[in-house]
Amino acid sequence: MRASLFFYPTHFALQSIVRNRRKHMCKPPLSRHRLFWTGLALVFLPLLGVRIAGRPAHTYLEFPPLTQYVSHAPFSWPVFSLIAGLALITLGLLGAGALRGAGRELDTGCRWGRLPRWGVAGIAFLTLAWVIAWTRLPSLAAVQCHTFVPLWLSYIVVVSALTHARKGTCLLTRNTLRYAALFPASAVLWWYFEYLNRFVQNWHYVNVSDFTRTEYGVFATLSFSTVLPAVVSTVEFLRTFSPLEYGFCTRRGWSPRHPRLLGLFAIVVGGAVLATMGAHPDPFFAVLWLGPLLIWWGGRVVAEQDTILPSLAKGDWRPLALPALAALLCGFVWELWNLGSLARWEYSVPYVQRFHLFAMPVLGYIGYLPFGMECMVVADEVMQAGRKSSEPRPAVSWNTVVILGLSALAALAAVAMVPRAWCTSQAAKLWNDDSHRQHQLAEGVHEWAGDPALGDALRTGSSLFDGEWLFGTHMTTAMGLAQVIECHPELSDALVPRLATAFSGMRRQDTRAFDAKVWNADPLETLDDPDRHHAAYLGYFNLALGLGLRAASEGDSDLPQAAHWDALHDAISAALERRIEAHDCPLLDTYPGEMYPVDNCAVIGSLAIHARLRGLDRTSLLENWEREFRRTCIDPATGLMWQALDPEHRNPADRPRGSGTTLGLYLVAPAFPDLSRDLFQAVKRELTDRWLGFALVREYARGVSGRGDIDSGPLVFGYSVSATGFSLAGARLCGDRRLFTALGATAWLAGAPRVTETTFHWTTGGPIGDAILFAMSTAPRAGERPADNPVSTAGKHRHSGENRP
Amino acid sequence: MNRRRILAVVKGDIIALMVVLLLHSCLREWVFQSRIAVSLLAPSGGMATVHAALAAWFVALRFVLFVIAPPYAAFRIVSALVAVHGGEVKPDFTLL
Repeated sequence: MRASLFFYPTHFALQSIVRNRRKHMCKPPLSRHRLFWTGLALVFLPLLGVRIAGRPAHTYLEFPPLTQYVSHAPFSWPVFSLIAGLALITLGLLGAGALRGAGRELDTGCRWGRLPRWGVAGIAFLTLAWVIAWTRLPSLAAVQCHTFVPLWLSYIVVVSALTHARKGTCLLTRNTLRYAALFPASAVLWWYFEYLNRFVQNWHYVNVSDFTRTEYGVFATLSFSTVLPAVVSTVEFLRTFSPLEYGFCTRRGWSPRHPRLLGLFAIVVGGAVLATMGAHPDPFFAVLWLGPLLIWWGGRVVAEQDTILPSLAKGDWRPLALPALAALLCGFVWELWNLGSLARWEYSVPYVQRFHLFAMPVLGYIGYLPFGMECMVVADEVMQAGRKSSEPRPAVSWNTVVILGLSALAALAAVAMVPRAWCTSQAAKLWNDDSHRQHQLAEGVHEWAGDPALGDALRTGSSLFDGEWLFGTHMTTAMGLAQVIECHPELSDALVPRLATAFSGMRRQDTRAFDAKVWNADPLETLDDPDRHHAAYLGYFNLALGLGLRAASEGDSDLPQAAHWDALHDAISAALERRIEAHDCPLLDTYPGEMYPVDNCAVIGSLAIHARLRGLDRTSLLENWEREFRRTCIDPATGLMWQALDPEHRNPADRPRGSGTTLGLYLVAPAFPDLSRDLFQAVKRELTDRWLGFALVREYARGVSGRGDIDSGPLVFGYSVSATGFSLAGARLCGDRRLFTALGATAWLAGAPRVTETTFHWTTGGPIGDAILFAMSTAPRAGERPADNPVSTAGKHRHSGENRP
Repeated sequence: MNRRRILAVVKGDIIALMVVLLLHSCLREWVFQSRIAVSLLAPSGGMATVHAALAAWFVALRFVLFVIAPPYAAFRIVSALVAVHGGEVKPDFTLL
């Protein structure tokens, strides 16, 4: 018998309060009408306020939310002192309640018991999530923006386990279904506060700008879904301690004489402050936490539904105190974990932006007190929903709705996390220049390029395209091999002979037959003819030769027939230079009467590399070419490359397109890195879309429709297979790791890779797809060849090897 | 007992997933071993149409495996778990 006689009446009063609350709940806790009208007021009153103030409402509805409209008032000592005083009084009352409880000898009967096994697992998971959140290990970079959910799920499990250890039960195990319903309710609740924050802009998120709208929506929803369960679990945990369970039960109650009038007053005040908040964000910044609470609580009182008033009348202040304390405790942990997280929030609060505890001004923590009460009001609605209702049973039961909602949340989490984690981890290997993976890719493409019967496997339905693909397979194989040899000189013994095979493949009579047939002249036997340009065959061949010879010269292995390939590179370069100089325009024809800017990118890239290898000065030619290219080949509206030009007047003969631009920026990079970057930015801006960790590139700018062809590959919803694959190189050249991994994830998903110990094939790519993706995914990353611009540094780094990563 | 009930719910899904995985692997190996130059880049006409159809089939399968299956599995497993463990409504809902 530990309880004193003095406190027995209060203790029994508590039991009767609970009984009375249940007994008198004759109306459903949340009627449809109240939900509708309250929701309407909560959403539209802030918007109404900004409209009355003459501000455009649409700026407050942008998604993802931006925090750029409000510039806050500076720090103010008077306001700080006033709020600090109120905070001290509130905390004093809470502290006094806890102390009063400690002085009483009542006991909740809760004792520390054995922690359940799932609680131990929760602690282990929490530790792991915390380590991941606060460290910047490169291998975990992909998940470091997403640590909020695992951290807070662990917190919920651990606090529930602690409650279970003390009490023998907890909401999580006792009412799993109802408890689970708190997750979707929590997401709605915090999205609402995010909406209100647009009007006062007291916090904003950092390191989330790379998320697309969909990603932002999905990840934010998942994060927000943990808030309410965390607070509710903490309340239940605090109740296992006698000082907190009994400290706020007093003999001094409070009972309003006219509760419905008070409720009406709360609605009017809450509505007024919400409506004023948007127009005057500085003086009303704190009402973000009070306004919704007043409206919701007032609505319950006016509708004569269950509220805390009967509890307060009997002197039970726990419904106010415990949620406030729980939210304050959660707030401390929120701010603590936020401090070292990669994706985090920062505060910008008027008048009180000083004396930070973690990222938050210390007075900001006061906001957690009303927020805790708000959480409890919503949690109570959810936990009581569908219970004790006199309304007819709905066709779909509450249980079904909760199960479906929770399962949908799990599905959302899975679709946001699993495909991304699965596919981007593979793409990360390519970004990191994984030696083994690059060797596998090289051996895979060599299986095609080294096969004399390769031509028979290419059946496009057109002999010209079959020839182009045969040549393209050898050409991109050579480019990829050159890039891998430069990146991994230790592989040169194995790969340099493969390079020679690819060169031979490009030079073979049957490979160049497609070009000879169209021009009616063999491209290599008519190098002295200035009128037959052969821009495609000679440009690409020369570029692959230049890259290969550069790589071989920097490696330790001798290239078979090196002198022959050197002489051929010199001869083709000289021929191309002569043709450019003999022509009234620096752009050459691909086929008679056909001019493609992308093929000219290969021509100029090859001449730039040749100049560097031989120490030649082609500054004048290159500058002239760039000027003409920017003038005639780039669409000023989009910044993308025209796909084709009319050779006579150099007018656009096709639209600006993704496949040409993405390949062109890769080919032109050795000559003009700045031009390459400009094109890449245009591709990102005009053509690239991202979705849950995957990226796709359009063939035509947004709003422009068009058909696919041999250049673009098939278009799926306007996205081009070729442009998406070519963009891998642009992302590497410009150091855009995030886009590269997203594009790589798409390639992994659609490419159906077949990986063995020694080879790697993209099953849906075939020979040409294999070879293109090999070259694009091994392009030099930004910074690996910083002085690649031959205009300023011709021949400077020859044989030095200083640019290797 | 609960484990058996959950397994009974998701058994059909697991079998379907295994079948899709098997189909995917077999077709990929057959295409690769028979040296058919399947390509998404194939334009049109003749064998190219067949190749493009095969490639599209691959992509659809992989989309099912990588993008559809994980959320579907999560949906099924969570609904089974919640239905088994939390389906019975117990009387104590009072938070305070």
